[in-house]
Amino acid sequence: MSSLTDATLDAFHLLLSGDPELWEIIGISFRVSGTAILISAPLALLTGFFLAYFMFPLRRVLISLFNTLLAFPAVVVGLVVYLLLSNQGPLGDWKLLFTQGAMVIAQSILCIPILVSMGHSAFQAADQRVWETARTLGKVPVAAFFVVVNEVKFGLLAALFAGFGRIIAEVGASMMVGGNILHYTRNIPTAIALETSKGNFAQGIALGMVLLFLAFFLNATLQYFQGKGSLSH
Amino acid sequence: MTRPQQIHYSSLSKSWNKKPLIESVSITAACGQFTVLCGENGSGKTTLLKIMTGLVRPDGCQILLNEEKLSWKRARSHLITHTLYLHQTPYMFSGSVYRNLTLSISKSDSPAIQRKHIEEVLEMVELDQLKHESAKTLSGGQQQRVALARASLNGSSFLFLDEPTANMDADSVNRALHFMQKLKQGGTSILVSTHSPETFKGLMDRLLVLEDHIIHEQ
Repeated sequence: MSSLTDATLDAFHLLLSGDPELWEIIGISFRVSGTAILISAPLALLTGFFLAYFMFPLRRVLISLFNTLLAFPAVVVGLVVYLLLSNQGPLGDWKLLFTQGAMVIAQSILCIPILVSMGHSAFQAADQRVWETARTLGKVPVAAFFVVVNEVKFGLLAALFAGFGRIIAEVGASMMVGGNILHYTRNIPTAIALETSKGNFAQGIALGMVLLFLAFFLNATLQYFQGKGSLSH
Repeated sequence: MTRPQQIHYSSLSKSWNKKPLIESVSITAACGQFTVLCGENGSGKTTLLKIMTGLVRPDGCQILLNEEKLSWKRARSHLITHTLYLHQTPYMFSGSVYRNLTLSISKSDSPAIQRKHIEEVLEMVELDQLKHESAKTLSGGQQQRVALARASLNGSSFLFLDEPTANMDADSVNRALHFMQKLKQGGTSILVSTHSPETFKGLMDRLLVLEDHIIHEQ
C-alpha cells in the first residue's frame, strides 16, 4: 500500500517538476493523435453526412460496415499497417515503419469508424428539414452543409472527442507500428506499458493521470458547450 | 437569367415506391398571383411543392422559365434561387429569431441595410419584441410567422407554402394573411397547400385540387 502511495506522490512530483522526458512523451502523444484526428475528421464526417442525408446503393451495407469496424481491435489495425509498411509490404518504399507517420496512419484508421458512425448518428438526429430549409433559402450545397454542421455541432464535437479519446489511449497499434522509440515514437500508452514492465510505477501513474485528466477535460468541455447551447434554446 | 415572372411546369410526374403519386400535371406560378392547392392527406401536395421548388427530383418534368424551355437538370438551380418552400412545420435554426432571419437575407447588401430590412419585416409579422428570443422556444404559430418573415427576406419571387396556417390560432392566422397580402401586392407569387381553402378566400386568385394524381381547376 505504501509503495502505491509513494509511487503516486512521485508521479505528482514528476508532473509538477516539469520532467522533460515525461512532457516530451505527452507532447508526442498529443501531436500524433491530434494529427490523426485532423486528417481523418473531414473525410469521416463528410461520409457520415452522406450516409445520413442521401440515398444510394450499398448505403445500408456501408453503415453496417462502419458500425462493425467500431469493434476492430487496435492490435489488428497495427498488424495490418505493419504489414503494409514493412520492407516487404506494398508501401515499404515509403520508409514509414517505426515513425510518427506510421502511428498517425494507424490511429487515423482506428478513429475513422468512430467519427463516421457517431457523425452519422449526429447528422441523422437533425431531420431532413434542416438541409431542405438551408437549400430552399438559396444556400449552395457546401454552404447548406455547414448550416447543417452548425445545427448538430454538439453531436459532432462528441464524435471528435470520443475519437481522440480512443486513439490517444490505445497501445496496440502505436506499439507495433511506432516501435516505442524514446524521444521519437514513445507516447503515453506505450510508455505506461514499458515503465510498468520495468517496475517504474511513478512515471506510469503520472502518465495515467494525464489520460484521466484529458478524459475529464474533454467531457467537461462538452458539457459546458452543451449547457450553453441548451440555455440558448 | 433575369428574374422570372412566370414558371410553367408541364408533364410533371412522380412515383413513390413504384406507385404513381402525380401523373402528367401541368401548373403555372405567376408573379402577383395567389393560388390555393387543396387535396386529401397523402394526395401528393407536399411532394408537388417540393418538386416545384427544386428540392425533390421528379420522374419527368419540363419547365418553362421566362419562356425558355429547360430540362429539370438545368432548371433546378434556377428553382432553388427563385423559389422558396416553407414546411408545414418550419424548421427553426438554433439561435435567436434575428439569427434565423439573417440566414435568409441577401449578403450583397450592407449590414446596415440588412438590419433595416430585418427590423421592418419583424414589425410586419409583429415579432419585433421577440427578436432576441430563441426561435426554437416560440409557439408553433410564432414559428410559422418567423418562417414567413424569413421567406420574404430571401428575395424569392415564388413562395410555396405547405399548410402555412395549420399551427396558428385565429389571431396569428389574421396576421399571417395580412402579411401574405402585402407580399402579393409586392408582386410575389404565392402557392399555398391547405385543407381549408376558405381561410384564403380573400386572397385567392385560383383554386386547384389535386385528386387522383392530377390537378383540377375549380
